[in-house]
Amino acid sequence: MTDARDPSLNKRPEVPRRRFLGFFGALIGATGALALTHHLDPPVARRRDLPLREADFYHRHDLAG
Amino acid sequence: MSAVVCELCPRTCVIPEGAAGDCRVRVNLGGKLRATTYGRPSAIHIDPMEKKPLYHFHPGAQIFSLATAGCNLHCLNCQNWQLSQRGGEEMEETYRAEPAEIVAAAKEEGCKAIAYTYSDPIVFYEYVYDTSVLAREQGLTNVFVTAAYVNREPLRRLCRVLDATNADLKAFDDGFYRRVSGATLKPVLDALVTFREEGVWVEVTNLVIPTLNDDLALIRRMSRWIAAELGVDTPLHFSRFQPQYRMRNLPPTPTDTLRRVRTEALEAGLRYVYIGNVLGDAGSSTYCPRDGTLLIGRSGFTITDYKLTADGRCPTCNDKISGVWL
Repeated sequence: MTDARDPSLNKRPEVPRRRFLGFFGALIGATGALALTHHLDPPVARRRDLPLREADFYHRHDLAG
Repeated sequence: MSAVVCELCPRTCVIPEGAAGDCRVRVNLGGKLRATTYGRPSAIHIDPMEKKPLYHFHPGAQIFSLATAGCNLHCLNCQNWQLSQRGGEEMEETYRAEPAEIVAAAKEEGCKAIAYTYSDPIVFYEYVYDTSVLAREQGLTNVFVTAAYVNREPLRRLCRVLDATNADLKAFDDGFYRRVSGATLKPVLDALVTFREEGVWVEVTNLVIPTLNDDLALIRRMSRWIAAELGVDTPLHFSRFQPQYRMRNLPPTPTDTLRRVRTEALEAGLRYVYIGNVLGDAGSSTYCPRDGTLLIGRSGFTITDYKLTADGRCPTCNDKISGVWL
């Protein structure tokens, strides 16, 4: 019969906790890597460093008052 | 604050600094209006010419087709709303392609024409113009697929480098334009006439939406106007409506309705009237207006029969068929 007073029975299992921390760490790492890639090479539409062509057919608006 | 007024389309948006026009893609930055989607297409495909639809312009040819985000109309039934009702920065996918790269890619793919299409190319006007100039220099033709809601002066300039257009005439009814597209009818009619005056090959598309623009009297008035102002040889395409975007409450157009409106337009004097978006319907083929000979048979976007002579004549009666043939 198992002895309920055995302290080893109340000890938290170590393996699942290590797995969780490992998974969490990998998630943070992957997010960081994605953020860095996005920062270094952003989508074309968001790249303000690329020249924006001036439009034809417009004029300055003369505000009244 | 230095606001600007965009003169490209009849909306003439007054755009404060840092804001975009109604089309979402023409932005006032530092008191200068910028075409933010110039060189930044979000859709590039190779399509058959019949998809534009153009039935009397290089039939069967492959056409290099591109679009950027944005549109100056906001049709409740838009079929490309994911592209047209967004600004460039909202797109999941945007490419970087200068006009010279577009022309080179079109040639590499063996296309002899470039289409500015899907959204309304009016909102990426400068990109269309610069690409068209280069394309023409390289022996390619330019096709403009549009709702034709544009001012006359910019359109006249653009027409110098365009070869063909398929223009939407959404309804011969100003109320329809206001309710469904947030636009007005008269500038569209003026633009269609301008295309014709400038020598651009014109085909017209009318999307027939049940209960909204399928009244036969309306179809008759529109057909008579096309015959009088653009000519009886102007091809008219009646397309079948499919419920989408913000107009899911109406059913697809019944085929019988499309056949009725086609008959009405033929009786009004137009010589080439087609039914679109109905696979295999006889109304999508080209017939000689004089003797009824089948000239070009079509099923969907595929040409199943081609009997025109090399110089674009009916093989039976030798009548000249209007168009720009191979």
